[in-house]
Amino acid sequence: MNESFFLGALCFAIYLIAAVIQLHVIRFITPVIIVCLTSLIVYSLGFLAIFNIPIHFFHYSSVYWFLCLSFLLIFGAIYKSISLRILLSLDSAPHKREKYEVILEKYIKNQSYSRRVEILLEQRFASMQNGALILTNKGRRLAQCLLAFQKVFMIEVSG
Amino acid sequence: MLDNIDFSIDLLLKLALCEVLIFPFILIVLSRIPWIRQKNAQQFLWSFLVSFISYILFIAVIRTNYPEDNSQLLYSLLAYFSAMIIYLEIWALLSRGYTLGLLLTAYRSKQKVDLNYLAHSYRGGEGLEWIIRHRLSGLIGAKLIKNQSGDLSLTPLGSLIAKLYQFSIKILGLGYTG
Repeated sequence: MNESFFLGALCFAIYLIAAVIQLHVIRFITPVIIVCLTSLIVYSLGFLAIFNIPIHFFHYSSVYWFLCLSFLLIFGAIYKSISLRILLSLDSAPHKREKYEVILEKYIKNQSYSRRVEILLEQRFASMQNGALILTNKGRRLAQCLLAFQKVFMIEVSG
Repeated sequence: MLDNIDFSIDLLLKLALCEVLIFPFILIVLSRIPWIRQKNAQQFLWSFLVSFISYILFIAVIRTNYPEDNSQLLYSLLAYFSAMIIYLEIWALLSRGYTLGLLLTAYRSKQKVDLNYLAHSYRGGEGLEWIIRHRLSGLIGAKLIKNQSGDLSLTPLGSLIAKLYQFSIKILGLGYTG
C-alpha cells in the first residue's frame, strides 16, 4: 500500500461526507447531479491536495473510482429501484400486507409512472399537447440512439 | 504540481485496460447466442464471466513469468471492477430503464400519445402491469415477499431489507425514491 491508495480512500471518505451533507441541504438540484458532480470535484481536488507527496495517477484513480462507483451503484438502487420501493410500500402498509392490485394502482400507475412522465417533460424529451405526450427532437434523437445501442447489443426487450 | 504525479502504467494495469476495452465486443458476440437471447441479465452475466476468467488466466500467466508485487494486482483488479460497474449501469439503463422504456414506447408509436395509451402500450403492449409482475417475481424468487393468492406480504428477510432501505433513505436525505 502506498500514498496513492490512502489518498484515494481519504478522498472517497471526503466525497461521501460532502455528498450526504449536500443531499440534506440542497433541494434545488436533483440528487443524481449532486452525487455525480461532487465525485468529479473531489477527485480533481485530490490532485491539488498532494503538495510534495509522490502519487501514482492510475493507482489513485482506481482506488477512488472503485469506491465511488460502488457507492453510486448502491445510491442508484436506493434512489430509483422499483423493487425496493415495493418492499417499503409493503412495510408501511397496515398489517404489512397489501393486495397486488393496490400496489399496482397506488404505486406503479400513479406515483412512479407520473414521476417518469414528469422527468421526460422536465428534461425536454417530450412535451404535452392537449393532454397527449409528443416527443421533442431531443427525445427522438435519444430514442434513436437507444434503439441503435439495443440493436448492437441484441437487447430485444427492455423496461 | 504535475511533477509529483506518476502516469506510468504497469503490465497488470494494461491487462485490465485491455479486458475493459474488449468487454463490449464479448457482449456483442455472446448476446447473439440463441439460448440467452431476450435474457438481458444472463447476457451480461455470461459476458462478464468470460471476460473475468480470461482476465484471471492472463494474470496467472503474467505473474508466473514476471512476478510483481501484490499491490499492482490490487490496483489492476480495482480498475477492472470500476469499469465493470460502469458497464453494468449502462446495461441496466439500456435493458431495464423504466423512463427510457417510456420514451421508446412513445417513439415507436410515431404520433402523439395520451398517457393512458402510453401506459397500456409500454413494453410492446404488455403495459405497466408488466413492471410489477417482473419485479414481484424477482422479489418472490429472492424470498423477500410472499404472494398468498393476491395478498402480498413481507418475509422476515424482506422486512429487514425494507427497514435498511428506509434507514438509507433517511441517511441520504432523499425525499422521493423509486
